Amino acid sequence: MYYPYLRGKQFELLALREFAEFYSANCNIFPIIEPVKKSFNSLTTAFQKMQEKGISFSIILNPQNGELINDYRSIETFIKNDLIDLNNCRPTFIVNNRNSRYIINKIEELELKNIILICQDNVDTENPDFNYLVERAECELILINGDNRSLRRRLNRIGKVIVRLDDKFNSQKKNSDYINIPEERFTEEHRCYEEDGFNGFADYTVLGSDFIEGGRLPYAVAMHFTYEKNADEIWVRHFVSDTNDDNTNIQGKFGEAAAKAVSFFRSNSINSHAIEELTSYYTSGQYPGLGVLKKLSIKHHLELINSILSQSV
Amino acid sequence: MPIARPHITQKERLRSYAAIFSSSSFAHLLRTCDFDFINSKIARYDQNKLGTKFTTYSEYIRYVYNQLKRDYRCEYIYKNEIINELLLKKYGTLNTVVINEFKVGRSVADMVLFNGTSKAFEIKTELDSERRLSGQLNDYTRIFRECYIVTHESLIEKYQSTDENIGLIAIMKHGRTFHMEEVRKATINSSIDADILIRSIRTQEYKNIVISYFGELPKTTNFQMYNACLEQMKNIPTDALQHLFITELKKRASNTQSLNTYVKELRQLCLSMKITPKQYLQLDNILSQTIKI
Repeated sequence: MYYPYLRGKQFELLALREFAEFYSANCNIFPIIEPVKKSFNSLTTAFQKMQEKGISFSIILNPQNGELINDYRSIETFIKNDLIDLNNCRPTFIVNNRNSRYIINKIEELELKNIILICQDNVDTENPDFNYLVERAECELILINGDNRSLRRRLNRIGKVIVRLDDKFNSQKKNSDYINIPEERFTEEHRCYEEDGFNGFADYTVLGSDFIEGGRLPYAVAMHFTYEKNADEIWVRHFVSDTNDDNTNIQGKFGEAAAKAVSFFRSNSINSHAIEELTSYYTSGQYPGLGVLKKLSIKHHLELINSILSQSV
Repeated sequence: MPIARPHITQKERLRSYAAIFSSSSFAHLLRTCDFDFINSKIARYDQNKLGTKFTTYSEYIRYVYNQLKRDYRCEYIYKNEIINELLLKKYGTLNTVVINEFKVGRSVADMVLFNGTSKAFEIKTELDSERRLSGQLNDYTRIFRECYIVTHESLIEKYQSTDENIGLIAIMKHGRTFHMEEVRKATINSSIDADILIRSIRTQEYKNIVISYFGELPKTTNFQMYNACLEQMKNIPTDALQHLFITELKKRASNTQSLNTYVKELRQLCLSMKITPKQYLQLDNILSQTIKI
């Protein structure tokens, strides 16, 4: 199983909705969603679609980014009111070196079951609260950094389902920096996680782990699409516009980058619903907006991993 | 004999005051009513004046603002005084749109104004260097009808030698108060550069300009639209293009008309945060609370 970690923003959620539309029958994707917006509208529609299609997902009850950092109450209210069928939705907590006690209290107060924990790198494995938390039977699945071997060993001993969470995307400062990196290795976890003793793998897709709010109009348009370069590795290819001297004419820049992407996919016979959508924008001369571009690269990535995992089962 | 070193220098204190006028801090305040960013300053510098010089947060902000205005005129003070002294007292807000940090080509004008004409203001405080000045002003004069340097009276002489088409405005001390005065009027610039213009405005705005003048958009794909519109704009006579630029920019959403109803120390902050009258009531309410540390 693949656990893409996504922030609950409009286009990330749209990617999930559209993915759910096509792949529910054979889904090897279990999205982990960190709510970051005060408005729950996009979350509601995405969750409804996933529940309707029977796709399981996780919702983080103590987000560490965005508008809800100190407003966990509104997430609880949202869950109580809008998630009628909790079967598909797994309550999730981010564990750091200070909040184990808080999480234990929440689990008891809300009588939560089937819990997922995401351990940050700074968890103190000597802390009694932390150990009490992870040992609880309700906490079934735990995400940890793939490099944290001591924690993995400890959790293995107490029989937890362990998923490795790594940031696989090598973010550059500026979009134009990707010009010098036409492509790079993204992941091989889809082939290795079991061998390495994990029950699943997670990453931050092609967005990387940094939480970026809003942002200015970029000088360059960059799109990041993953593909299976060989039997073991998934690579990410960066398609970047050419005229990047200022932040004007974003439509023209989209056209430049899209031309490169469409031609690459065509000559390598790579396809997905996301690529079809991109190609249709390109051939009809339409600029869909940067949000849609983000949606497409996420959706394409989910489609790719899902198809690889479905074949190998 | 050992000399007691002052714990905090006057300059540090003032710089620290200047940091209060930050839109992200006020946005946070509006969201959470968290006064930490102000309380920390009061605790560090002004605990002994609490209850005598000020008791509420808005009184404290007025106190801090006046300290800065007198002894540490940072960019915030200049911008806010442009609103108070020039916009509200002199130009008027009727049919006016003021925009902060307006991109012009590759520079950013500190403040610009559109009413019957277009004005750009470049602020040079006593704390600034003049390093980038000539390049920036060169960009502004290519699309704005009037360009001004706004500075302190003590620096006017230094800027007298710049391009004499550029106007000069000075903050001047008058007894115990300060006001702004136009020392040299800007020459009206009758040319306009379509290349810089298209790079300074939004897609919908340059499309509207082309539609207004030619009745329709060039027939091409979206990817080529920018270049096609630029070619068309080069064919619009300069006075018509200037007029269309001003008309388009005046359509931008702005709270310029409401600024005079906002408290005078926070007008620039309200402008840059695009505070609506409704949000302002909320802010006013929050700030009228008694200081609690």
